[in-house]
Amino acid sequence: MSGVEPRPAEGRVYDAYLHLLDRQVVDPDGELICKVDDLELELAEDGAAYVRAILTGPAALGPRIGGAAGALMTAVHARLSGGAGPGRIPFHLVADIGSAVTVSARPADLPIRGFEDWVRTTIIDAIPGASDAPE
Amino acid sequence: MKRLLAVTLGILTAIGGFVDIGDLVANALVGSRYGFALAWVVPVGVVGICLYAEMCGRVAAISGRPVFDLIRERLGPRLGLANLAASFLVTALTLTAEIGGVALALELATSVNYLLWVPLVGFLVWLVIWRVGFARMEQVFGLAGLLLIVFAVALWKLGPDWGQVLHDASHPALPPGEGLPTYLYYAIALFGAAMTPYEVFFFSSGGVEEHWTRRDVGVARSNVFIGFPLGGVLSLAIMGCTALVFFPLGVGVDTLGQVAMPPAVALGKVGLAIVLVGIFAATFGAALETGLSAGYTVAQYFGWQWGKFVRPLQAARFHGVTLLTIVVGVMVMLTTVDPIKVTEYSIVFSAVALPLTYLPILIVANDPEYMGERVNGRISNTLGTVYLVLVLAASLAAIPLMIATKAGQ
Amino acid sequence: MRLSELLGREVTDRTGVRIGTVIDVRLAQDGPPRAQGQAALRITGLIVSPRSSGRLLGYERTPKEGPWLVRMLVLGFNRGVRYVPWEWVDRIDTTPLRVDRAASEIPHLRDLPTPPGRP
Repeated sequence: MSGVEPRPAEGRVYDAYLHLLDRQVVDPDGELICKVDDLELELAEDGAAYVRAILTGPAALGPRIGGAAGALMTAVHARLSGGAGPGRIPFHLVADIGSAVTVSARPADLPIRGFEDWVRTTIIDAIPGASDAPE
Repeated sequence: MKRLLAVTLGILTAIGGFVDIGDLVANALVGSRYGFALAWVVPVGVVGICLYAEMCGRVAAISGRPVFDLIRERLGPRLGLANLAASFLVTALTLTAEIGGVALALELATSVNYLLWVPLVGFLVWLVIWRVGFARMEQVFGLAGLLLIVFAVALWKLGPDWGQVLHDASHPALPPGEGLPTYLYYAIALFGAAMTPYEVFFFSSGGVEEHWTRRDVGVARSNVFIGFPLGGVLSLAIMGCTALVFFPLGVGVDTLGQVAMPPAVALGKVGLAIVLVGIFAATFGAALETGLSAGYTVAQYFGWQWGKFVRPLQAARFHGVTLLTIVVGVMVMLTTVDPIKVTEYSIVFSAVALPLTYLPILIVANDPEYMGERVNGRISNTLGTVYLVLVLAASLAAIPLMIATKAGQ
Repeated sequence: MRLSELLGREVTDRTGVRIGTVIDVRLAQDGPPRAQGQAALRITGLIVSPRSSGRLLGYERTPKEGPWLVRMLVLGFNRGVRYVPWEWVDRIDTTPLRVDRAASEIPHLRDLPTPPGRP
């Protein structure tokens, strides 16, 4: 990459840690999906780097927390999920970046539901009234 | 007209919801031991919680984001997790204390041992969270909590020399036999009781539950600036009652029965009945708030769907956390640990945990990317900085003082 | 590769002089259009601070408002923060990251114009 002059930025500019990481991800109706726990990068042949996907879940958050707590989180998740990687939302689904990151897909369509589904089917479903609409 | 009614309801709910088991115990205890010498702490605490709650409410109304969501964004995942651990533990401890408080109130009313009530209380708290709508839940228990006005009525009926009271309150003096470290320890405890972290988690999450927008900033403010100070007046009335009844006798309050005595003394059986219902409503309402707050903090850190504004099926992990925290609270109470002691620890640890939540909120309330033009004005920022120093000082001094005075002996 | 793997990395200049730690990564929405027609986010550079501890509560670049005390703390913290254009990074798989310039050529963040589209 040496000798290449920096290409000036066009379009909106963000700082990854300030504007993207640890932000809430929502669907177009405002339903809460997950947090941006990390971002997946893609490296092009000419040396440029692009953000390819949002990564989420303990497998993405654990390494960022680091230390014993992070290692524990990653290990427990690997154990319980049978070695599944982090949840992944392709970045082209991102419609807006504001106080939350809006994604143009429904939560059910995104491959990130493991723990929620487990708690729902194991505990919550069994309790009467779980599917009642809020007052 | 409808708007006025809604605003009035909000204010009344805020007054009645202000007092919880921590305020009851702290104010009664301090009144019995120090008379009016610590009365000044209550207004200091009320101004602090008003300041803090207004910022949280404004942030929730303008950005649509509740407090804990923003804490992780501002502090990063590592510090945010440490913050979560501390805040969650303090909130869970407070929930445990509230469950104990409700059980004690029921024991006073029925003479059935409080331990037998504890599991039922836990179940009822969970059931109300599960089934009752957010607004209705708030209103019912907030309005019923207003019955605690009986303390103010009792205080007036007990007919103190108001001139003397004002003098004692404005010239704080250590009663004979009391040392300065213990005095400061109780000042911090009283401060922690007024400014418990769960109140702002709940207030800002509640704002999102009720879909506040920028038009609701005024409503939020009226709740805070009228409701909370009047709630503070209730706290002072509780302190005044024990100051008049117990302080002259040199008896320190350490049971809920003693807390409830002054209205009985002043107003007879009717006073007793009213105060018991009021205590029940206030502590039960606070148990609901802390139970929900336990779920809010964890869900908002991890980004899970939370809230009573969606079906439970859509917020399974949130409800799971709330349920688990209530169960643990019940189990802790069943170990026969003294509920009053648990309450005292919960308010002191609240004071320790305050800076963790306070500083990020102060920052976010100043961030134009979130707040647009509704960033903090000069008053909020000046007061905010003053309280930042206060909150830090209280937090740092709390544990050493607790150790030095053996938790206020 | 994950973006977080860039954060916290030590950065040195061409001769091995330490410049600091990566505390943030600047992105611009001007990459090749993605499936839905929106431009991809491209890494334009790294924000590097001489202090090894991480960021301070999100006020790094624009403390125009806020309590005076906090603003002073943040301005003090921001002294020495530099911006390394992505094209100047020699290789990203080395530890520490090496920049293909001398330390004196790497600009300070506050000397750069505010990027478009920022408050």
